Amino acid sequence: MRIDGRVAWFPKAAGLWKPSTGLSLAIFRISFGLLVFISQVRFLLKGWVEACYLSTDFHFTYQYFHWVEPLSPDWLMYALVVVTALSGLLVAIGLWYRVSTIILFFSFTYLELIEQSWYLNHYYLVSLLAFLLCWLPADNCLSVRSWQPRERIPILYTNIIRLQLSLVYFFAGLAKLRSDWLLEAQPLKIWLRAKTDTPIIGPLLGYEETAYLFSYGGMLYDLSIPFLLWYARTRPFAFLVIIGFHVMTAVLFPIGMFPWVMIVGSLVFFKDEEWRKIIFISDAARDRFQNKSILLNILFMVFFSIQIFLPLRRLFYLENQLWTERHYRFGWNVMLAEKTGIATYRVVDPETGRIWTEYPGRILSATQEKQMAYQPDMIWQYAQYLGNRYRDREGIEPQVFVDCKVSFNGRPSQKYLPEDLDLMNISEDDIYDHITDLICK
Amino acid sequence: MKHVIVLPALFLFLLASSGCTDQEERLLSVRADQLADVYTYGAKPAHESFTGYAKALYESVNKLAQNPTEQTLSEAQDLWLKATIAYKRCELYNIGAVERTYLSHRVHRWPADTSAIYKFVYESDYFDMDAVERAGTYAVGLAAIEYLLFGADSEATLKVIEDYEDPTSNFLLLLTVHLYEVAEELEQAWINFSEDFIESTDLGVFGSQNQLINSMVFHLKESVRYRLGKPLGEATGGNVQTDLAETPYAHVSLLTLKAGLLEFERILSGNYGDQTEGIGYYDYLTEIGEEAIVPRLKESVNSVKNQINEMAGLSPDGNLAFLLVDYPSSVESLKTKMMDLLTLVKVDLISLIGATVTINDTDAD
Repeated sequence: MRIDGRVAWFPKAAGLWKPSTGLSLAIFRISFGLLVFISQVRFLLKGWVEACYLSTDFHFTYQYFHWVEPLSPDWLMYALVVVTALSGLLVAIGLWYRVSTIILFFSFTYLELIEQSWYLNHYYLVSLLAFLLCWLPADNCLSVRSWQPRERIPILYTNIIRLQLSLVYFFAGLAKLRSDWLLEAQPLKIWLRAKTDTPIIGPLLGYEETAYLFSYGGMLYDLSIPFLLWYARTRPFAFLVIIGFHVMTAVLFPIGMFPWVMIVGSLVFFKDEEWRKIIFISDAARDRFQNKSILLNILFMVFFSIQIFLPLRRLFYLENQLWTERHYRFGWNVMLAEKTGIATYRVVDPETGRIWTEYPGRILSATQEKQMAYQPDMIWQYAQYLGNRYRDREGIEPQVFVDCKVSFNGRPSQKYLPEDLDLMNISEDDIYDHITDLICK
Repeated sequence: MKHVIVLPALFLFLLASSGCTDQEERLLSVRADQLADVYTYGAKPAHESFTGYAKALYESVNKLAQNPTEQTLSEAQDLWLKATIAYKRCELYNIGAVERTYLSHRVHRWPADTSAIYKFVYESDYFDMDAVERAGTYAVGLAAIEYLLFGADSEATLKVIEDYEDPTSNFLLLLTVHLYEVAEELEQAWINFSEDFIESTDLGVFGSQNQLINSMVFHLKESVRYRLGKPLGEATGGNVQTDLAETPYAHVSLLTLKAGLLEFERILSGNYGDQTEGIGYYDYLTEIGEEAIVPRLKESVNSVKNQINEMAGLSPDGNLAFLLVDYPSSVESLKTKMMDLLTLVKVDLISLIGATVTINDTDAD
């Protein structure tokens, strides 16, 4: 099939190439940029630049990105957050759009890569959306450059954002198809019980039935909402449900910007024609049809293949992923586990038998210590840090062991890793194979 | 489509109208009663007792300065011990507005900075109350008083105090005056805070129940890391450091550990002694249907208590330094048992009551 002289990549889905004004995409661009701006200002005002990047010398980094570290001197970290905030603002108003989105993607992603213990699903989502915006003509209208549509763009480019948001919902819903969530209503049972003092709805939250209602409601919501948003007849209803759902989660849980990202994100599902009833812009865009290269289309295909693969790769392992945390991140495992842990390290000089005990709180921040205590790759990373430290300080080839206990979804705490496992002798990937089996109640 | 809205709404309405408010009111009432008991039977008498002993200590040291004898010294030492034991109870209540006064730092930080004290006493031209109030936290408080009251032996201590030219007795007196003043301020801070504390029945990170449990976790951590771990040589590759025990001159570290643990147990059980059966965490856990953890907590607390009692049999005066040298395995065993208790509280208990370990307000998902 040929459209405007170009080959459509999905012949049966020629509708994807239908020309549009890009109004929905522009509205998404504005709201997304403003949210990034607000979230970065909030980050600054809450003192999180200091707390996250500057308060400790040690940082947990991501596999393959261990080279990422905070910028020095300290003021550069503040500057980087400011740059991210400003780029968000520039994206919102559509000024120097291409450069702004690229800066936004790299600066935001760099900030997130510095400290793994601060990983949040919605930070990851912001990075993905910023990456996609780098390639999309979201400044086609409602921008400083041009209020009216400059040219017609394929609806596919709006659908790419829609698809990304749909994948988040869908995989978050799939991730809830687990026994703890469905049969035990955990961790909601624990969390809701701690929220019974919430005004108006608080009294309901102490009930076990409410936890089940929220569990099943949440699962059905995640699995169905993308479809309800795509379908024109159910879209207004779906949007109201989204507002209700995310406002409630914002009230009940400390999840920061996530509810607002998802609410404003869902605006992109409204069609250009629906928006044009509210925002008056011309539909008479110039005839030129903007279609990117085949390479770009391949890029999107690869991108979404990865996006589908990452949440599903857990299926290759016969284990409780919520317990082992293998491939837990980047899989849209949103609010699925209540875990607390405690970890103490022993550094041993095998030659002399001398033993040092290391309490992570001595070096790590409260957030780092809390997150590390039940995340195997962080436990491993900190062991490497200690090992190297003692190697330099004491001139020894140390063994590093951890005594770690974890409680998961209300179960009694249990040993997480064998005490005699020398963490200096295994790789980051190997640690998952040593995690003790989860003992159920 | 209408059913999608109507059914959940109906469900919520039915739940709301089925007496669920009673359940929440009951939980709220248990929390409120627990917090009121913590103040009435725990924090309030603990601080009153500490202030009383701090005042008695000052009077006793005054008497010692005027009439330095074996008996007056012994009386002063005895009152230091009583004030210290009394303060061990208060340590668990160092939360909220009281914690933010940072007064606790001026009561007890150890080990005493002996070189700072020496400089203060012998190298400064003049010192008065203002100077003591400005002194570093390791040069004042119970640890500094202990250092001056418990010399190598009573004869040496008395010799210094007797010496009219030696400013030590004057400094010691000022330290006790300062301690008494701080104790009074702390007591007053708690009185001012009490209403907020009792009324903060919410379960958020700044709710009183949450803050209290965090204080208990902190106390246990301190015991494991500093009161036992450091003296055991955990930071030095196993080289025992007796001088890092909590009371290296009075040698009553085991007694102080026990005092803190007993108060810890009182908060858990709600049994504050003297036939005062109040509400504690055990009652709250039972109320929310998590009573299964209660026997485990009791067993763990008893295990620590038994270990302390066993060690007291090895060193009747509670001399941790002696135990560290002659019975290090017993100290190691106590640390392990305290670590088990810490795990149970920090990991299991906190998870079950939905509390947040460490007060922070970063996002999550």
